[in-house]
Amino acid sequence: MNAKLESLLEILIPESDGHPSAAQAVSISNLISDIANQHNYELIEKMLNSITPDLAELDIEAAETQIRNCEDAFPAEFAALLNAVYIAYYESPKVLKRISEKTGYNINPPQPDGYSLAQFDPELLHNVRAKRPFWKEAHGNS
Amino acid sequence: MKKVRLLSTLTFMPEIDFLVIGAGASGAAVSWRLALGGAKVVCLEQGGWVLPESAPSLTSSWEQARQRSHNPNPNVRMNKWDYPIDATNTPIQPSLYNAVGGSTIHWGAHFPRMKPSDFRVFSQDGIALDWPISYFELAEYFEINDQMMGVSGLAGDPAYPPRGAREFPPLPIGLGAKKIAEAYERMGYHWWPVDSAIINGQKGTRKGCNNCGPCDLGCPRGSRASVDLAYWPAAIEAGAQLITEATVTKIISDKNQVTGVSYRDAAGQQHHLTAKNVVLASNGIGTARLLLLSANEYFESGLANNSDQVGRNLMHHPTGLVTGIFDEYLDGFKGPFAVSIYSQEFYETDEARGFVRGYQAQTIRSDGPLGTASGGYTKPVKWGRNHHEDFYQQFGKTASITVTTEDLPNPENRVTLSSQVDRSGSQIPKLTYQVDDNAKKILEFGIKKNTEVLMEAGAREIITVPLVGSAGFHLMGTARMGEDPNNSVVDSVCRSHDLSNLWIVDGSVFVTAGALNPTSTIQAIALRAADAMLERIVLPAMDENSALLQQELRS
Repeated sequence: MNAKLESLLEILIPESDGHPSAAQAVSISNLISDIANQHNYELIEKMLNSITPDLAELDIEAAETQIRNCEDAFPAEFAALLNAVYIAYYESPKVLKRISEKTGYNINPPQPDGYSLAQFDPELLHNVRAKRPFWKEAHGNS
Repeated sequence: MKKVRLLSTLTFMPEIDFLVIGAGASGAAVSWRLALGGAKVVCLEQGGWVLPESAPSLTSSWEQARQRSHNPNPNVRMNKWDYPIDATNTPIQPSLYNAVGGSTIHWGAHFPRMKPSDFRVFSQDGIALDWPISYFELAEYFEINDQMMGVSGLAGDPAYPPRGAREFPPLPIGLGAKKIAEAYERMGYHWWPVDSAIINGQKGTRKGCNNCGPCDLGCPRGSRASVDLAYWPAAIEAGAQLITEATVTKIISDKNQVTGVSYRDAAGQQHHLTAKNVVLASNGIGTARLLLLSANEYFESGLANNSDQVGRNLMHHPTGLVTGIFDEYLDGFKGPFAVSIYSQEFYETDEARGFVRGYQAQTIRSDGPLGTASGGYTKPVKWGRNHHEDFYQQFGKTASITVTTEDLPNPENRVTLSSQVDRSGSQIPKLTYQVDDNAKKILEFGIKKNTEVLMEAGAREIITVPLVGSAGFHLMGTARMGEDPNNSVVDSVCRSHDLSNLWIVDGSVFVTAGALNPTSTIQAIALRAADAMLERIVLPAMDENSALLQQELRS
């Protein structure tokens, strides 16, 4: 099962442009443990077993077709697995480091430093300030 | 931040004037106001204290926490203070928090007031009912509540009756909202920086916002108001007692009066408390559930339910979402996610549109890396060869606008009791809810309009979510107020028609929902109800020290 999952992860998020593949960035044993904690692992195992060819032996188009068939047949289980992979991948320090290199994203937690942003500029309210008040008086029972 | 004593048992056994059930937005407000007025107040809260310094935004797994341990849906989160909710018969999943502070522990703190017209839907449109109170009767309580919570914003909004300056200036709106604001200006639409219960400067021991982003995970600076910080220290100082991890299982009554409650402590021990008055503040689901669980020989279909309105008219504000993807990097993950600018251009009825009432458009910032990849408010980034390219097309480059719709009362949208039980054997609430045709039309119209706005703002691609299934965060209507005991549960000051010493002060009492976030209005109603409660009880004369303390607290 570990080998099958590893092959699947290589296709789901491949290595590219300095980003590790999911198989490189994610611990398979941790992933299995996480899936088992969060979901019905037997159903996900059944889904994985439905992929009969060895993905590592297929060319990329054929492998993606196999996975798409699996996704169509087991949509809920596939979505659960994919989300678990995304969680593990996008919390990987290697991945966050590469995102930071490409975008300047600060990989530290949001607190305690937060971010600096420009204060609101009231000059933006040019046309809307000229609008007449348009709230309704709304008389009625009281 | 100010430290308060954490109580798990009563430190005295007073003759309780008011026993409040629930320590969230309304329970905190009513407890403070009552205690300040000299009443003996005990509040029972099924959850415990959530310490601000435990916020996941201080950790590297903060995005995962949003999906799991701090998921807004109690059925997903399943922490020890939560009760399950049967939500199999509704397209909108519940979003609430059980703790001291209630759902203000995980909210976004967008803090608009309901508008004068929201209280007069029948008079204007011939549907639903008018409220027995008006916007202007709540005005002074909105102001008191703003002072307690701490509000940032800007006076002069033409969408509202005139109001004074806010305590703090508007929060930074960020690059995405700026683009949308400029588009609104070009299109001639209303927009304004939002009122937010997030302070843009120091307030006592609470620090000003530092734009970290995920307010929903808690705020270790205390910038984003939650009532555990904004109300409870003052309420406790005024004499209110707060008992945590105390789950009320039943309200006890005779034919005309409630006499007290049964509750279970953290160890599973059952207790009984008597009180002169019981005040329900357990949100639009919890309050209805408890009234139904408290059926007895005098009220066979649920306490205070002679009208058969308890649990009915559940309203949520069905919400759609339109996201624009821009070419440039907008730093969309910076700044409080839910607060920047809003538009009420299409809030009021225009018959030519084919529906009544309207919507509020609220600009939302974007996600961090994991939130972007796993979909957040939009759709997951596709797996496969183009995964990284697709990720960078979106990450930090999106801005979203919600379509928050009027949700008209429908007696078939309701909270009932499920046949399933929680861990203590109490029946759990069951939600039955459908989005009505009027709201569907508003959603369709609002998504079209907001698509136009985002295109005008320069978005190169639009992603729409016609109905956000996780947006069950507004819980209203299930014990509505009114003058007629035959079609309402409480009167205009939130007192039960059937039981003269039972009060309900949470979102349950809403007659109609408006089309905006209700917390500010819920709290104003609770404060007003507290003053009405104090008028109806005879308080013993205070000694000189107590009187001086009350005077000091009031000032």
